Amino acid sequence: MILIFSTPTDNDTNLVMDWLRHLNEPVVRINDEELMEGKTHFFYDENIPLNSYFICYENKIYLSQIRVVWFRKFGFLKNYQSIIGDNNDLMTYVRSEFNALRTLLCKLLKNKKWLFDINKLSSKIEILQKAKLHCLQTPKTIVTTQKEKLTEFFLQNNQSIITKSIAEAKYVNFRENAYMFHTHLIENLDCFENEFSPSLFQQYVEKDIELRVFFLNDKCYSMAIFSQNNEKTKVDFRNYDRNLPNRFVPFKLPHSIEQKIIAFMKDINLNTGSLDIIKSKHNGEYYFLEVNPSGQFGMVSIPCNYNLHKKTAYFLIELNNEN
Amino acid sequence: MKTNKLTKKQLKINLPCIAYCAEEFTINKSLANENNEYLQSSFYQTTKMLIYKFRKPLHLSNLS
Repeated sequence: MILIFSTPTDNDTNLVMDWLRHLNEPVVRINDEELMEGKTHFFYDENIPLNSYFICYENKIYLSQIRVVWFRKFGFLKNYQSIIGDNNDLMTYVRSEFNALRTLLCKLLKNKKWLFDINKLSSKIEILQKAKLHCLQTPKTIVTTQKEKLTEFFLQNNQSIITKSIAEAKYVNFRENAYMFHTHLIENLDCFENEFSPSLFQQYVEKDIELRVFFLNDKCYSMAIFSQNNEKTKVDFRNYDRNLPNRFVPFKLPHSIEQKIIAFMKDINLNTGSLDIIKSKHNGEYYFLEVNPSGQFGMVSIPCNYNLHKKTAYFLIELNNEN
Repeated sequence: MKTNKLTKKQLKINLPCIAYCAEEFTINKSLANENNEYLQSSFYQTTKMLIYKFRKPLHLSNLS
């Protein structure tokens, strides 16, 4: 039995589910919202933890029946957020309860086969370190709380650096307004105080092209995004220009880079993920930026005709059939 | 619609630098639309799961 931890609106899960149904493969999908609302039932058996079970759409599934877990996107709780708001103690509490439950579930299922084992996830900084160990180029990176150190780094990198979240890029609501906490180019340091919270800065690598690489079971499916020629998308293509969308085309990475990625992903215990890579305009080198194990891959699959939902479904089945 | 950015002066506490770079967007119709899209997508998914419930493949019918 395959278990998918997801969220109601994740279209990649929907499409993989369609393939699994088509192939008549036993699968259960647990959505974060439905679990939190008690529409999907859960019972924890403290004496025999693997006798804990879910009841999902009238199917009772014991944890002992599960062989494979796909940790997709689990913990968005957007419906809760839209009903009770984001900036309040109740929402913080709901998230805290959900996170504790999620940790419990992941621990209970830790001996299963995983497509993205969240128990083994490293931090962004550790991942950058590992990428370097595998000879993947990475932008020069610092984390600092001091403007003095930031100024030094700014000058060393031709006054061209970016800042990004140490954890995840986020869309943040604050006092009736919303802010995009995505990658930002820093052109001057005037807006910063002498001290600030620990912040991550990187050398800005000017792009020839931007690549999104979906990695699955030791294979790379790459897509080039022509985001460089558009002012809105040149630092981060997620600042989508809906009037003039970037062009997405299939791309083949050099074999040596693919081999490095395979070794690197093995080292960080990821059998799937979406990697952000930049091909530098100046030296033609490929710079690894980050990997998102739960990244959307329909946006790679559909323009490039890679059939990634089908491939993901087949890989889950392969894991389910392994001894 | 772009307006301004967060500042230390306004917040009176230090934040990561990204907070001072992020542009402010007034919450407007696009967020309401986003919520609507969410509800529609959620409804579509729930409906689909219900249809699956009535047309359960054999292996799932045997489990309950």
